[in-house]
Amino acid sequence: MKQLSLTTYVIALNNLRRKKGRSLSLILLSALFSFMLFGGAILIKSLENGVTSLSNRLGADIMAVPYGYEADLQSALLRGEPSTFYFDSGVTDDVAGIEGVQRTSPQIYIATLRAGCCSYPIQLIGYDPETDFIIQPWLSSQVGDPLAEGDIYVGSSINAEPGQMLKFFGITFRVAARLDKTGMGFDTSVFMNLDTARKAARESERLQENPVAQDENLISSVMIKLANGYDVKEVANRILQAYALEGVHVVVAKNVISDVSGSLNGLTVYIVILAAVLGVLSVVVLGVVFSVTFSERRKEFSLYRVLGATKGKLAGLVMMESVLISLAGSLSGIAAAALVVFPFSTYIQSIVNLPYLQPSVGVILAAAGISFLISFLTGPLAALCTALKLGKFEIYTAIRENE
Amino acid sequence: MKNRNLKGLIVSVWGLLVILVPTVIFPPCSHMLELVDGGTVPMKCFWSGRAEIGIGFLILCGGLLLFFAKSAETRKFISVSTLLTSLVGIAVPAFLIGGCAMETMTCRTTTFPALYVLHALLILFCVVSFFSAGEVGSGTTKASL
Repeated sequence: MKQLSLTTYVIALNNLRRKKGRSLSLILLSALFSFMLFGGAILIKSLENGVTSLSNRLGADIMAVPYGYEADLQSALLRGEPSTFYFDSGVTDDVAGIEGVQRTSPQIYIATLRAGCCSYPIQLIGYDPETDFIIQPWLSSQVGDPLAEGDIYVGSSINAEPGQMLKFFGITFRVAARLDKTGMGFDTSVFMNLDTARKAARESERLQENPVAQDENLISSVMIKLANGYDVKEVANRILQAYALEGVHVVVAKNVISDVSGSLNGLTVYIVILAAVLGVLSVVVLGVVFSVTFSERRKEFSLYRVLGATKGKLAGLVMMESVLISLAGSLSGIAAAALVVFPFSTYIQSIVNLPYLQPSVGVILAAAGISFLISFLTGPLAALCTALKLGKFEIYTAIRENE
Repeated sequence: MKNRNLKGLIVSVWGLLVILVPTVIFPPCSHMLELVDGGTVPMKCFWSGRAEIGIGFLILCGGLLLFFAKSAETRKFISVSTLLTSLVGIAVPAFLIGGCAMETMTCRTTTFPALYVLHALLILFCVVSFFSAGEVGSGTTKASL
């Protein structure tokens, strides 16, 4: 027969095995807490990264769009929801003449049909490489040459490698580069120069009506950068006063970012409250369970004492049981959270409907470590009171009390 | 319930889940591809889902065999074959058939991740089941599978 030494660890482990139901329930509670801590931390960090990416990549102060399409532009930028809207390209020069405007750059948006390899509509974005100050600054870090006609850059969510050919509206485009993940609508967009975008619009006419095919002087939006020292609101008002009657409306980038930040703050508060409630619940329930089982196990502890165990040994036993429960619960909770937040990250992004960019491995490991530490400490903390009580009880009365 | 029966039951339920993911829980993309002649065909992810139904059925059968098998050797064999079936279950959406090219499509946001998680956990379970099946030669040889 296998001999087991009666160490605190062995006795605690066997005690937990003997009361499987109780042990599993406590492990589950601890796991729930660590799941919430780690899962919540990754969620919050990913959303924060998404907002940072949005404010870094949204280089324009104001965006001019046709009246009534402000929400469409935001959907295209934040979530890559394909939309098609146009106004006259003369707006670019008109807006450039407004006091306070330093740079302007036109863009064309074309939504593809549900066709091609996997039947998904995507946003084609045509931009002017000569005036652009939005897309190229963050492209240049990844790709060297300017975009040639017929070449495209694809967002990170589109599964195409550089050199691969992609077909939209019957035209074959060469993928010049696949961009890094941004966590926003650019991930599902395709970028090309204005001439290529117009060609795509002309070809799209065979499948769906496109105004750009009839009139080459149409654009979808004008990105506006202000000169230093000018107030965004003032310049936006000037643009509206001058061109609102011509169907020009404006979207202020700061407002887009602050809207997203507001939603993020609301979500963060919910997650923090839930984690705090679960944390308090864990400590209280574990504390109550240890305290109740201490009363149940008075005789058992007295027998240990009769057999020669010191009060310190008994306190160590209770602490060891709590440590094992916390360890198993914390590790399984973190593992379960990892199995949800990483494989389902795109699904989570579609549910929260906000820019979502997963943190780096270092941040993930740090979040796992901190979550583990906090969750792990709840067990020993809850058992501390019971362990202290063990030092006070009388062996004789404990053994005889139920006789 | 004996420990070995419980393991068989867990594997069977897992097989059932693998069947339910592409059929009920997270069905793949439902759009059809239009052909030049006007006809329509399902996309790649649809066929990956169909293959997973077959794989799930094999896992379910593996679980039932594990439920009834008594000898340690048989139980080890079943664990290994279920593990290999699960590896094929990962390879089907990942390489063998694949799915949509865009990350945001339903198959790549829900169906495939759910299948990867299920298969990964089952592989882990099969490894544990293999090493806890006991010594080869132990168990009832009479009337065992």
